[in-house]
Amino acid sequence: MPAICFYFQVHQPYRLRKYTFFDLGHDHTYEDSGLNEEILNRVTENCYLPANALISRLIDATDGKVKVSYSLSGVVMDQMNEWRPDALASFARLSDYKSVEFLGETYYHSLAALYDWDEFHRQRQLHQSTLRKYLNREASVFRNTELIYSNEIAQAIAPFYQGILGEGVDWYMEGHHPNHVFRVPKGKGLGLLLRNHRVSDEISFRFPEIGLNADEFLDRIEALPGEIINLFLDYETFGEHIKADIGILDFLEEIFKKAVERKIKFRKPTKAIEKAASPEKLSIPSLTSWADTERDTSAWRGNEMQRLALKKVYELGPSVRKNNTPMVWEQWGRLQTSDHYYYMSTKGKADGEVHEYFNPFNTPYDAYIHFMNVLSDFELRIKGHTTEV
Amino acid sequence: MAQPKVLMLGWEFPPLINGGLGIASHGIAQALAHRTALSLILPKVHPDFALANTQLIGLNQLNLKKTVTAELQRDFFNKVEEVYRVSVGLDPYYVAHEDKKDISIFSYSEKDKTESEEEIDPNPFQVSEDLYDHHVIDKVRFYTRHVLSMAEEKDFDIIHAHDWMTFPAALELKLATGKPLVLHVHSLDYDRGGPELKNWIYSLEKEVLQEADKIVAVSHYTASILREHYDVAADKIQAVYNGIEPREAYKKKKGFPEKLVLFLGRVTGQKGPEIFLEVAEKVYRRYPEVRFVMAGTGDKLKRLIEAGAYTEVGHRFHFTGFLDREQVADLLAMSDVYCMPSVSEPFGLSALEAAQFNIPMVLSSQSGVSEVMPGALTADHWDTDEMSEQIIDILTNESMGRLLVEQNKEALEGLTWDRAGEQLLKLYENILEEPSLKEV
Repeated sequence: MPAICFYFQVHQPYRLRKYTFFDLGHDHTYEDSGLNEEILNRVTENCYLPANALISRLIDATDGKVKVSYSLSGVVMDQMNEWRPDALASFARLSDYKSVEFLGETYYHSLAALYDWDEFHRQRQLHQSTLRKYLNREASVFRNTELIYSNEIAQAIAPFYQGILGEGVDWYMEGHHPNHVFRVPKGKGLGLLLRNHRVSDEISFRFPEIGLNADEFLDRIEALPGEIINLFLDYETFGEHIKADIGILDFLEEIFKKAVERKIKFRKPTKAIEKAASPEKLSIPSLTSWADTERDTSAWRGNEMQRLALKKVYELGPSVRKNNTPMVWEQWGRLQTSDHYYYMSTKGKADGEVHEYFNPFNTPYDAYIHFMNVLSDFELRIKGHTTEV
Repeated sequence: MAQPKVLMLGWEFPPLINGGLGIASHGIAQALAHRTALSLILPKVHPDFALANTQLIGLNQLNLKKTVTAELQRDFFNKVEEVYRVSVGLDPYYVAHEDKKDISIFSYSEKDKTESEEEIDPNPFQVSEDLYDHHVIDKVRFYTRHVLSMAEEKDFDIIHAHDWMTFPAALELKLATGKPLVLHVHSLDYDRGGPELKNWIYSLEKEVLQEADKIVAVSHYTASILREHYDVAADKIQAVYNGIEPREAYKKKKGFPEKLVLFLGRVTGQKGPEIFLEVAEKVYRRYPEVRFVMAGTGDKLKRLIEAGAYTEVGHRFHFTGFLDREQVADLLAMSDVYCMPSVSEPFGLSALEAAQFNIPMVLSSQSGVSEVMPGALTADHWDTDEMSEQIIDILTNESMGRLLVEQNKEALEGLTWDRAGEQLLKLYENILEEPSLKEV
């Protein structure tokens, strides 16, 4: 009977405001603080506080048999620190439990791994030190932004972590199922945990559609081959994307309680990797992710607008390093947050709807236009063409 | 001679302005207000909007209780038997597959007509703000019938109508009353759709133009299109240029060191936005200290944004979307070059605004306004090499730019609406003095 590994992604970007051409060179306020605060408040009330309370209650009630892991982006921790210290404190309380693990990621929830390794490692380290500062934890497992993964990315982080998370993309599984711990080729023994998207999606998509119950869900898990079922989900699924009145938090509670009754084990990522006897090697040479039906990076760089925006952001690297002021580093990092590019996606159908969520702009074109204006202003500032800096 | 009594038929009018037509109609009406006894019938008149010495009639304000009985003598509307209307968000190419389920077809069959005539027409100008939505043909038909019905009680010497939306009403009026008809051409289907697109509107324009007594073209360029593409006799056409209200120009400091090249107008094929992007790319390659701004919105905007991102000038090519009058002025106050690469531009009022703001300009040769701007550099709209060359010349040679601006400034002094009003008054008088018309 396989064990369950839960991992919850906690992230909110600093969304940009409608920064027009007329602002260019005059106004250096890029973000919509009002909106960001409002969303953070909403998500804190709907999800972070009630879901954290539920998890700590469950851990207490099961003597630590309930185990989960989180990854909090640096920018969501900063926003909590500024607007909802109670949310951050609630995660800090969870960090007192041994049953809770915190994972490492890029501070700005960025795509730096695809463009700039130096910047990637800067953000990785910054995230590590922030985790230490707010939650007094060290991450020993890494998960890259939106589970963007390839051999190369795994190899890049191998010296610093014990494991990494990825998406179990069917067409790279070479006949395997994702319910094992794998070994990264040339990864210095780095363990790889792959998301079981079918079972994960049962919670985020099938539950609200058909009102799945916990027993049915666990029946399904018990019947699966392998030793670990990786359920990787956006934390906001619980109470925000799916509202509490539909019963999503109750569903989560039932899963944990009934699993403990049925003697199904929970594992944290690090433990799952440590316990794996002789993990099989799995090579994923191309970029994969958990986003959209394509499960690649097309959610962020599928069209010309996205590609140009990303190209121009990373072209600023040398100027940022030359400038080397905290403000510029911070601003550059925030402009790298993947959500900005996600909002520029022109994909239709179901994926398009997902891109709309929390999107401050009406259309991908608006997202692009305003982002590019911001980027122009930022470039002018770091190159010394405006008065301040 | 007593002031002629003019019944003017308009479509766009302040504060409801989509393009040059509304501004021009207003300028002309204002200039004619004290020269003629002027009544102006419009689809919509804003309750707070008045024009001295003019009777403004908005169909939106009328209580159209009684059934309109006026018989139309021409069958403009029956000709649009089937107009394909594609619902929003649907791929227009589906039309070619004739998948009737996805397309709403509205037809003006005889059956529909009698049904709607028995009931009282709902007044489209009380419902919608948009004068050019999917129901534009419904609106034109409504306007035609109600204008005709209202005019039975009006006393006038001459009919003066602006652009195709008012042409059916104008011709019906002429047929019903025998009064002379002046058509004022601000824009033709040829300009909007190109020479190949000869659709229902083109046929309507052509039919009514043949029967007008006199045609006012906003430029010699438009006069040439009327002759060449609408078979209008040269002696029936008179060019009367638009004017512009004088205004104080100002300068606004840019927040960036690069020069700014401005495209201002609807982002539609007619205005040549793709040409502007191509020109921008060519300019940027040789003169990188430059930004471009495309101000306006339109059906090509999305495509332009994506195409812009594909080019190396993409990060220097900005979009503003729709701007209000003040924002347009601010943008003019920041710009270093104004570029109007229109494929076909009957006049091009915004170029006059650019001249008021002392901006040197590069205009498409296929434009009316280039006839009155002696300091404008001009190139054929397809010649993006030449156009980019001219922009670089202006950017690199400031004294030349100043000289061009001076020449245009001088020309502006003669481009008043009063001058246009005076020319139109003469034109009315000539028509009314013509013996053949007096006898009618």
